[in-house]
Amino acid sequence: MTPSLPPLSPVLRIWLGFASLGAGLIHLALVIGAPPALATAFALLGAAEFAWGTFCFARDEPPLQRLALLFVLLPLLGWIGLLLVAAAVHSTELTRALPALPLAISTLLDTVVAVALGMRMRARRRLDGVRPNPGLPTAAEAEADPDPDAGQRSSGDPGTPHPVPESSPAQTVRFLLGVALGALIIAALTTTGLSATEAGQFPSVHELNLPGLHLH
Amino acid sequence: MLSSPNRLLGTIFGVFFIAIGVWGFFLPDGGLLLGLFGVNLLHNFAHLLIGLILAVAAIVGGLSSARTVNSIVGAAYLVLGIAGLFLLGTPVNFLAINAPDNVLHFASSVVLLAVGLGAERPKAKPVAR
Repeated sequence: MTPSLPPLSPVLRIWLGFASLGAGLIHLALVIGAPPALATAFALLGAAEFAWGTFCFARDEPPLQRLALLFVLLPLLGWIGLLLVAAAVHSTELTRALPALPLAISTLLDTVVAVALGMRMRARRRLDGVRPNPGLPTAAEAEADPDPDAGQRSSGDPGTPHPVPESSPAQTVRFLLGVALGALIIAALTTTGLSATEAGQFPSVHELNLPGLHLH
Repeated sequence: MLSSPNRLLGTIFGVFFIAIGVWGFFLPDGGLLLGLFGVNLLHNFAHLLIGLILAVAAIVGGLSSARTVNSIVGAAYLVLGIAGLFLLGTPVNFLAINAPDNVLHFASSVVLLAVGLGAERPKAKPVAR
Protein backbone atom coordinates (compact mmCIF):
# COMPACT_ATOMS: atom_id res chain seq x y z
CA MET A 1 0.00 0.00 0.00
CA THR A 2 1.35 3.44 -0.95
CA PRO A 3 1.49 6.12 1.74
CA SER A 4 -1.18 8.77 1.41
CA LEU A 5 -1.64 12.23 2.83
CA PRO A 6 -4.10 12.02 5.72
CA PRO A 7 -7.19 14.18 5.20
CA LEU A 8 -7.18 17.56 6.86
CA SER A 9 -9.26 17.54 10.04
CA PRO A 10 -12.75 18.92 9.20
CA VAL A 11 -12.53 21.40 12.10
CA LEU A 12 -9.16 22.72 10.87
CA ARG A 13 -10.51 23.00 7.33
CA ILE A 14 -13.50 24.95 8.64
CA TRP A 15 -11.21 27.23 10.68
CA LEU A 16 -9.24 27.99 7.50
CA GLY A 17 -12.52 28.88 5.81
CA PHE A 18 -13.44 31.12 8.76
CA ALA A 19 -10.08 32.91 8.58
CA SER A 20 -10.53 33.54 4.86
CA LEU A 21 -14.11 34.78 5.33
CA GLY A 22 -13.03 37.06 8.19
CA ALA A 23 -10.26 38.60 6.09
CA GLY A 24 -12.74 38.92 3.21
CA LEU A 25 -15.26 40.75 5.37
CA ILE A 26 -12.65 43.26 6.54
CA HIS A 27 -11.47 43.85 2.97
CA LEU A 28 -15.08 44.37 1.83
CA ALA A 29 -15.67 46.81 4.70
CA LEU A 30 -12.61 48.80 3.55
CA VAL A 31 -14.30 49.40 0.18
CA ILE A 32 -16.38 52.09 1.90
CA GLY A 33 -14.46 55.34 1.88
CA ALA A 34 -11.53 54.08 -0.22
CA PRO A 35 -10.47 55.77 -3.49
CA PRO A 36 -12.08 54.00 -6.51
CA ALA A 37 -9.00 52.03 -7.62
CA LEU A 38 -8.27 50.81 -4.10
CA ALA A 39 -11.99 50.12 -3.48
CA THR A 40 -12.08 47.89 -6.57
CA ALA A 41 -9.01 45.98 -5.39
CA PHE A 42 -10.51 45.49 -1.90
CA ALA A 43 -13.84 44.36 -3.41
CA LEU A 44 -12.17 41.80 -5.69
CA LEU A 45 -9.92 40.56 -2.90
CA GLY A 46 -12.84 40.27 -0.46
CA ALA A 47 -14.99 38.43 -2.99
CA ALA A 48 -12.16 35.98 -3.77
CA GLU A 49 -11.58 35.33 -0.05
CA PHE A 50 -15.29 34.73 0.45
CA ALA A 51 -15.43 32.27 -2.45
CA TRP A 52 -12.31 30.41 -1.32
CA GLY A 53 -13.51 30.24 2.30
CA THR A 54 -16.87 28.83 1.24
CA PHE A 55 -15.21 26.19 -0.96
CA CYS A 56 -13.00 25.31 2.00
CA PHE A 57 -16.14 24.24 3.89
CA ALA A 58 -17.43 22.13 1.02
CA ARG A 59 -14.26 20.31 -0.03
CA ASP A 60 -12.02 17.71 1.61
CA GLU A 61 -8.95 19.72 0.70
CA PRO A 62 -8.63 23.51 0.63
CA PRO A 63 -9.04 24.32 -3.10
CA LEU A 64 -6.51 25.96 -5.47
CA GLN A 65 -3.77 25.82 -2.86
CA ARG A 66 -0.90 27.42 -4.84
CA LEU A 67 -3.07 30.21 -6.18
CA ALA A 68 -4.62 30.75 -2.74
CA LEU A 69 -1.16 30.98 -1.17
CA LEU A 70 -0.22 33.73 -3.63
CA PHE A 71 -3.57 35.44 -3.13
CA VAL A 72 -3.34 35.60 0.67
CA LEU A 73 0.20 36.98 0.52
CA LEU A 74 -0.82 39.60 -2.04
CA PRO A 75 -2.59 41.94 0.44
CA LEU A 76 0.48 41.96 2.68
CA LEU A 77 2.78 42.92 -0.17
CA GLY A 78 0.22 45.37 -1.53
CA TRP A 79 -0.23 47.01 1.87
CA ILE A 80 3.51 47.47 2.40
CA GLY A 81 3.95 48.73 -1.18
CA LEU A 82 1.10 51.24 -0.92
CA LEU A 83 2.29 52.53 2.44
CA LEU A 84 5.77 53.08 0.97
CA VAL A 85 4.25 54.88 -2.02
CA ALA A 86 2.01 56.97 0.27
CA ALA A 87 5.01 57.93 2.40
CA ALA A 88 7.03 58.80 -0.70
CA VAL A 89 4.38 61.04 -2.25
CA HIS A 90 3.05 62.30 1.12
CA SER A 91 -0.49 61.16 0.22
CA THR A 92 -2.84 61.47 3.18
CA GLU A 93 -5.73 60.10 1.10
CA LEU A 94 -3.91 56.81 0.61
CA THR A 95 -2.86 56.45 4.23
CA ARG A 96 -6.43 57.22 5.37
CA ALA A 97 -7.75 54.49 3.07
CA LEU A 98 -5.30 52.00 4.60
CA PRO A 99 -6.21 51.95 8.31
CA ALA A 100 -3.61 50.05 10.30
CA LEU A 101 -5.79 47.94 12.63
CA PRO A 102 -8.19 46.37 10.09
CA LEU A 103 -5.36 45.70 7.68
CA ALA A 104 -3.18 44.22 10.44
CA ILE A 105 -6.00 41.85 11.46
CA SER A 106 -6.86 40.83 7.90
CA THR A 107 -3.16 40.27 7.27
CA LEU A 108 -2.95 38.11 10.41
CA LEU A 109 -5.89 36.01 9.20
CA ASP A 110 -4.39 35.71 5.72
CA THR A 111 -1.05 34.72 7.25
CA VAL A 112 -2.72 31.91 9.22
CA VAL A 113 -4.19 30.63 5.96
CA ALA A 114 -0.83 30.99 4.20
CA VAL A 115 1.05 29.08 6.91
CA ALA A 116 -1.53 26.26 6.93
CA LEU A 117 -1.47 26.01 3.14
CA GLY A 118 2.31 26.09 3.09
CA MET A 119 2.49 23.24 5.62
CA ARG A 120 -0.07 21.22 3.68
CA MET A 121 1.76 21.69 0.39
CA ARG A 122 5.06 20.81 2.02
CA ALA A 123 3.61 17.60 3.44
CA ARG A 124 2.29 16.68 0.00
CA ARG A 125 5.67 17.39 -1.64
CA ARG A 126 7.40 15.17 0.92
CA LEU A 127 4.90 12.42 0.26
CA ASP A 128 5.29 12.75 -3.50
CA GLY A 129 9.00 12.16 -2.97
CA VAL A 130 8.17 8.83 -1.30
CA ARG A 131 5.31 7.62 -3.51
CA PRO A 132 6.14 5.60 -6.63
CA ASN A 133 3.55 7.53 -8.73
CA PRO A 134 3.60 11.13 -7.50
CA GLY A 135 1.22 12.21 -10.26
CA LEU A 136 -1.61 10.09 -8.90
CA PRO A 137 -3.94 11.66 -6.37
CA THR A 138 -3.72 10.61 -2.75
CA ALA A 139 -6.61 8.88 -1.09
CA ALA A 140 -7.44 12.16 0.65
CA GLU A 141 -7.53 13.99 -2.67
CA ALA A 142 -9.54 11.33 -4.45
CA GLU A 143 -12.03 10.57 -1.75
CA ALA A 144 -15.06 12.64 -0.81
CA ASP A 145 -15.43 13.15 2.92
CA PRO A 146 -19.01 13.07 4.12
CA ASP A 147 -18.88 13.62 7.84
CA PRO A 148 -17.07 15.52 10.57
CA ASP A 149 -15.17 12.55 11.89
CA ALA A 150 -13.69 11.64 8.54
CA GLY A 151 -10.31 12.79 9.82
CA GLN A 152 -10.36 9.96 12.31
CA ARG A 153 -11.00 7.30 9.68
CA SER A 154 -8.35 5.37 7.88
CA SER A 155 -7.27 7.27 4.80
CA GLY A 156 -5.83 4.35 2.94
CA ASP A 157 -9.15 2.91 1.85
CA PRO A 158 -10.39 4.91 -1.10
CA GLY A 159 -12.99 2.31 -1.88
CA THR A 160 -14.78 2.49 1.48
CA PRO A 161 -18.37 1.50 0.75
CA HIS A 162 -21.47 3.30 1.96
CA PRO A 163 -22.74 3.95 4.51
CA VAL A 164 -20.05 5.75 6.47
CA PRO A 165 -20.04 5.11 10.23
CA GLU A 166 -22.38 7.41 12.09
CA SER A 167 -20.78 9.79 14.55
CA SER A 168 -21.64 9.57 18.22
CA PRO A 169 -23.34 12.42 20.14
CA ALA A 170 -20.02 13.12 21.91
CA GLN A 171 -18.19 13.45 18.57
CA THR A 172 -20.95 15.68 17.23
CA VAL A 173 -20.83 17.98 20.26
CA ARG A 174 -17.00 18.09 20.06
CA PHE A 175 -17.18 18.97 16.37
CA LEU A 176 -19.77 21.73 16.95
CA LEU A 177 -17.79 23.12 19.89
CA GLY A 178 -14.68 23.21 17.68
CA VAL A 179 -16.61 25.07 14.98
CA ALA A 180 -18.13 27.48 17.55
CA LEU A 181 -14.71 28.19 19.11
CA GLY A 182 -13.25 29.00 15.69
CA ALA A 183 -16.22 31.24 14.87
CA LEU A 184 -15.87 33.08 18.19
CA ILE A 185 -12.14 33.73 17.69
CA ILE A 186 -12.64 34.93 14.12
CA ALA A 187 -15.71 37.01 15.12
CA ALA A 188 -13.71 38.68 17.91
CA LEU A 189 -10.82 39.49 15.57
CA THR A 190 -13.07 40.58 12.72
CA THR A 191 -15.20 42.78 14.99
CA THR A 192 -12.08 44.51 16.28
CA GLY A 193 -10.94 45.09 12.71
CA LEU A 194 -14.36 46.26 11.53
CA SER A 195 -14.69 48.73 14.40
CA ALA A 196 -11.84 50.74 12.88
CA THR A 197 -13.46 50.90 9.43
CA GLU A 198 -16.15 53.29 8.22
CA ALA A 199 -18.61 50.38 8.05
CA GLY A 200 -18.21 49.84 11.78
CA GLN A 201 -18.62 53.48 12.73
CA PHE A 202 -22.42 53.69 12.65
CA PRO A 203 -23.69 52.83 16.12
CA SER A 204 -27.38 52.60 15.36
CA VAL A 205 -30.07 53.60 12.94
CA HIS A 206 -32.92 53.73 15.42
CA GLU A 207 -33.49 57.35 14.70
CA LEU A 208 -34.72 56.29 11.27
CA ASN A 209 -38.48 56.51 11.02
CA LEU A 210 -39.50 55.14 7.69
CA PRO A 211 -43.10 55.56 6.55
CA GLY A 212 -45.27 52.67 7.68
CA LEU A 213 -42.58 51.10 9.83
CA HIS A 214 -42.66 51.07 13.57
CA LEU A 215 -39.08 50.96 14.77
CA HIS A 216 -38.37 49.53 18.19
CA MET B 1 -30.71 13.70 16.32
CA LEU B 2 -27.91 14.34 18.81
CA SER B 3 -25.47 12.51 16.61
CA SER B 4 -26.13 14.74 13.60
CA PRO B 5 -24.20 18.05 13.61
CA ASN B 6 -26.63 19.59 11.12
CA ARG B 7 -29.79 18.65 13.01
CA LEU B 8 -28.32 19.62 16.38
CA LEU B 9 -27.07 22.97 15.10
CA GLY B 10 -30.36 23.67 13.29
CA THR B 11 -32.25 23.00 16.52
CA ILE B 12 -29.97 25.20 18.64
CA PHE B 13 -30.02 28.09 16.15
CA GLY B 14 -33.74 27.67 15.52
CA VAL B 15 -34.60 27.89 19.22
CA PHE B 16 -32.18 30.82 19.63
CA PHE B 17 -33.72 32.82 16.77
CA ILE B 18 -37.27 32.11 17.93
CA ALA B 19 -36.30 33.24 21.45
CA ILE B 20 -34.75 36.55 20.29
CA GLY B 21 -37.65 37.06 17.86
CA VAL B 22 -40.17 36.80 20.72
CA TRP B 23 -37.97 38.84 23.05
CA GLY B 24 -37.81 41.66 20.47
CA PHE B 25 -41.58 42.19 20.67
CA PHE B 26 -41.31 43.00 24.38
CA LEU B 27 -38.62 45.65 23.94
CA PRO B 28 -39.60 49.30 24.43
CA ASP B 29 -39.50 51.65 21.45
CA GLY B 30 -35.88 52.06 20.36
CA GLY B 31 -34.72 49.30 22.68
CA LEU B 32 -31.75 47.11 21.84
CA LEU B 33 -31.51 43.35 22.34
CA LEU B 34 -28.98 42.81 25.14
CA GLY B 35 -28.42 46.57 24.94
CA LEU B 36 -26.49 45.99 21.73
CA PHE B 37 -28.40 44.58 18.77
CA GLY B 38 -30.76 46.81 16.80
CA VAL B 39 -34.15 45.33 15.92
CA ASN B 40 -37.52 46.53 14.70
CA LEU B 41 -40.89 44.90 14.05
CA LEU B 42 -39.82 43.49 10.69
CA HIS B 43 -36.51 42.30 12.08
CA ASN B 44 -38.33 40.44 14.89
CA PHE B 45 -40.64 38.73 12.39
CA ALA B 46 -37.60 37.75 10.32
CA HIS B 47 -35.95 36.20 13.41
CA LEU B 48 -39.12 34.27 14.22
CA LEU B 49 -39.56 33.00 10.68
CA ILE B 50 -35.91 31.97 10.28
CA GLY B 51 -35.93 30.29 13.69
CA LEU B 52 -39.06 28.34 12.82
CA ILE B 53 -37.66 27.22 9.47
CA LEU B 54 -34.37 26.09 11.04
CA ALA B 55 -36.07 24.28 13.93
CA VAL B 56 -38.73 22.56 11.83
CA ALA B 57 -36.17 21.40 9.25
CA ALA B 58 -33.91 20.03 12.00
CA ILE B 59 -36.52 18.47 14.27
CA VAL B 60 -39.30 17.36 11.91
CA GLY B 61 -37.33 17.00 8.68
CA GLY B 62 -34.40 14.68 8.23
CA LEU B 63 -30.69 15.19 7.80
CA SER B 64 -31.04 16.27 4.19
CA SER B 65 -33.52 19.04 4.95
CA ALA B 66 -31.45 20.23 7.94
CA ARG B 67 -28.31 20.43 5.77
CA THR B 68 -30.14 22.25 3.00
CA VAL B 69 -31.81 24.75 5.31
CA ASN B 70 -28.60 25.38 7.29
CA SER B 71 -26.72 26.09 4.06
CA ILE B 72 -29.44 28.32 2.59
CA VAL B 73 -29.99 30.32 5.80
CA GLY B 74 -26.18 30.58 6.23
CA ALA B 75 -25.80 31.90 2.68
CA ALA B 76 -28.70 34.34 3.17
CA TYR B 77 -27.15 35.64 6.39
CA LEU B 78 -23.79 36.01 4.67
CA VAL B 79 -25.41 38.17 2.00
CA LEU B 80 -27.23 40.14 4.70
CA GLY B 81 -24.00 40.52 6.71
CA ILE B 82 -22.17 41.96 3.69
CA ALA B 83 -25.12 44.08 2.56
CA GLY B 84 -25.47 45.35 6.13
CA LEU B 85 -22.03 46.95 5.89
CA PHE B 86 -23.29 49.16 3.10
CA LEU B 87 -26.79 49.72 4.51
CA LEU B 88 -25.77 51.33 7.80
CA GLY B 89 -26.95 54.92 8.01
CA THR B 90 -28.90 54.75 4.73
CA PRO B 91 -32.69 55.13 4.31
CA VAL B 92 -32.99 51.61 2.85
CA ASN B 93 -31.96 50.06 6.16
CA PHE B 94 -35.52 48.91 6.83
CA LEU B 95 -34.43 46.15 9.24
CA ALA B 96 -32.80 48.71 11.60
CA ILE B 97 -29.49 46.87 11.29
CA ASN B 98 -26.59 48.25 13.32
CA ALA B 99 -22.91 47.29 13.51
CA PRO B 100 -23.31 44.59 16.23
CA ASP B 101 -26.14 43.09 14.13
CA ASN B 102 -23.73 42.75 11.24
CA VAL B 103 -21.26 40.88 13.43
CA LEU B 104 -23.99 38.54 14.72
CA HIS B 105 -25.32 37.94 11.19
CA PHE B 106 -21.83 37.22 9.95
CA ALA B 107 -20.99 34.86 12.85
CA SER B 108 -24.30 32.98 12.43
CA SER B 109 -23.79 32.71 8.70
CA VAL B 110 -20.30 31.21 8.87
CA VAL B 111 -21.29 28.61 11.48
CA LEU B 112 -24.43 27.58 9.55
CA LEU B 113 -22.57 27.51 6.23
CA ALA B 114 -19.59 25.63 7.64
CA VAL B 115 -21.74 22.89 9.15
CA GLY B 116 -24.28 22.83 6.31
CA LEU B 117 -21.64 22.56 3.60
CA GLY B 118 -18.89 20.80 5.52
CA ALA B 119 -20.51 18.15 7.71
CA GLU B 120 -22.35 14.97 6.73
CA ARG B 121 -21.89 15.54 3.03
CA PRO B 122 -23.48 12.95 0.75
CA LYS B 123 -20.89 10.66 -0.75
CA ALA B 124 -20.21 11.21 -4.45
CA LYS B 125 -21.16 8.17 -6.49
CA PRO B 126 -18.16 6.47 -8.09
CA VAL B 127 -17.89 7.20 -11.80
CA ALA B 128 -17.72 4.17 -14.09
CA ARG B 129 -14.58 4.24 -16.26
